[in-house]
Amino acid sequence: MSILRAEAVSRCFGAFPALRGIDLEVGLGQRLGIVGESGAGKTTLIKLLAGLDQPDSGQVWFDQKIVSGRPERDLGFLRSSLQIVFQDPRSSLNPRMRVGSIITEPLRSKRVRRELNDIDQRQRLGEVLKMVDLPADSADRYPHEFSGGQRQRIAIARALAPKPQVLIADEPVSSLDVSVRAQVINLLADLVEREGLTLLFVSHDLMVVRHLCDSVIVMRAGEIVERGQSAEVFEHPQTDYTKALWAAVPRIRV
Amino acid sequence: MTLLEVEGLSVRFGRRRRRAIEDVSFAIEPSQRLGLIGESGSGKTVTALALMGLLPQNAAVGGEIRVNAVSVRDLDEHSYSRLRGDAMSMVFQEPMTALDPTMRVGRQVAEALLLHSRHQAGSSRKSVMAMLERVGLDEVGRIADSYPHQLSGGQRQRVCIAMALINSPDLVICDEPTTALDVTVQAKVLQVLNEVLGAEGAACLFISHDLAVVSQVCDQVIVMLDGRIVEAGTVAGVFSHPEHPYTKGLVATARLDQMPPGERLPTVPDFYRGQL
Repeated sequence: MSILRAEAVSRCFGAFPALRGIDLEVGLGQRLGIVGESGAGKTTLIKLLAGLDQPDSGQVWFDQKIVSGRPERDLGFLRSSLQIVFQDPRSSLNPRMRVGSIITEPLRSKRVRRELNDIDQRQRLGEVLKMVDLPADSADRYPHEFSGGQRQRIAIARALAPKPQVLIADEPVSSLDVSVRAQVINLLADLVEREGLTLLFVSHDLMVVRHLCDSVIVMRAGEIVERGQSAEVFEHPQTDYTKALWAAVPRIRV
Repeated sequence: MTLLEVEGLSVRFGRRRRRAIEDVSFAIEPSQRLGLIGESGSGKTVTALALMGLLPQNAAVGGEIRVNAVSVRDLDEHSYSRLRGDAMSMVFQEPMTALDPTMRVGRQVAEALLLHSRHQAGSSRKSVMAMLERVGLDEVGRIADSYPHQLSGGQRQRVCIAMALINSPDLVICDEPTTALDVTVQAKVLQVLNEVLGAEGAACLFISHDLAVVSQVCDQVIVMLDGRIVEAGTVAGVFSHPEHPYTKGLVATARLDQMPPGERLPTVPDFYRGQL
């Protein structure tokens, strides 16, 4: 059964067509990679799926409920069950808030609380900090006191706080050192498995997607040019574009 | 003659004299490509800035840096700035902040040229266009007349490479030049960099946390950890038989292509649990 569905979704910015008639279905528990170059429409697509932007035409459904066109006050169900981790934790975490209050902020939203039957904030904070392997005393500190990898763990903890079904990660390891990248990928893989999450993972790095995702869509100029099982797409890419993306991944050459 | 000799270089910051790098020594021969790897905070960029004489006022520098056998530690600011952009130049990580947003990029490249030669402003345009072409840009006229924000990330970084190479430097320092780019653009920029470095016969100090990228540009590599060099050798040697546990960790994490999908990835702390 699909949990997220987009039908003929298009979005223009001025005269520029960022998305052209995208059809997509994401099944419960699926780990979908979304790959493509800068400007291919990856981020525009996930914004529409997350109800953070509206399509010019087409429809988005979450769990059989229409998302597109709804006012924010009716999107409580989506805000609690779909969460995003952004690329750069330096800009996605408020530098003037303590980590504890950053992580529990989604739980203080009136609409999310309604969905979660007034979850105990402090208890949930402890739980998610443990889930992302951060010490309990992190809650009293500020984001600048943490390294890049730790900050991304904070962003992941915040996303997990409202117990979402779907986690969208938009280039979550692109601003990290290669060595830190491995730790965050391991963490994401564990969490997806343990919490039974559906994962949408946006990246320009196909090697990371191959590792983490069971299926993949390849985007170019606002369209999906290839889709299928990760193993299939990466071992037998059908389009030259996918082949070029795959070839561009740097590998150690000795 | 050795192009660059660094001996016992140390940098400390502020009144507390916090150590950034300590006892760093290495050498670069003419047209040699040396990779400098390590994680964020290991001292890679501080090393580069020390070589370029671009450290802030509160930095206390010790040790020796010689370029073509001449010590640059004794140079005054005026002589140093004649060296920068001429004998040695630098490509920074973020081309958007490295370029002046209020100046057309053609003029910025020309500025580097005019500051260091007797070129007349008129004839410089031709050299600028030729250089922009050599870094693989199309429609160089339009590019030269554009402001940085009108170009893509890859185009901006090519402009920075053009600027760094227009005076045929002996040494180009590249500090994470492709980290801000996506993989396809990165591949093209690396190819361009390889071509122009080769054509100019310029040496390169290439700083990156990405071992795969380093292996495509460099033949020698040094590994930095907490401000010190912990391993040095050929790229082939160090990457296939790393000795220091920290290097072993770095190499293992960079081998994502050899991991079966879904399996737990090795991390640096699996190999090295020092002050990480």
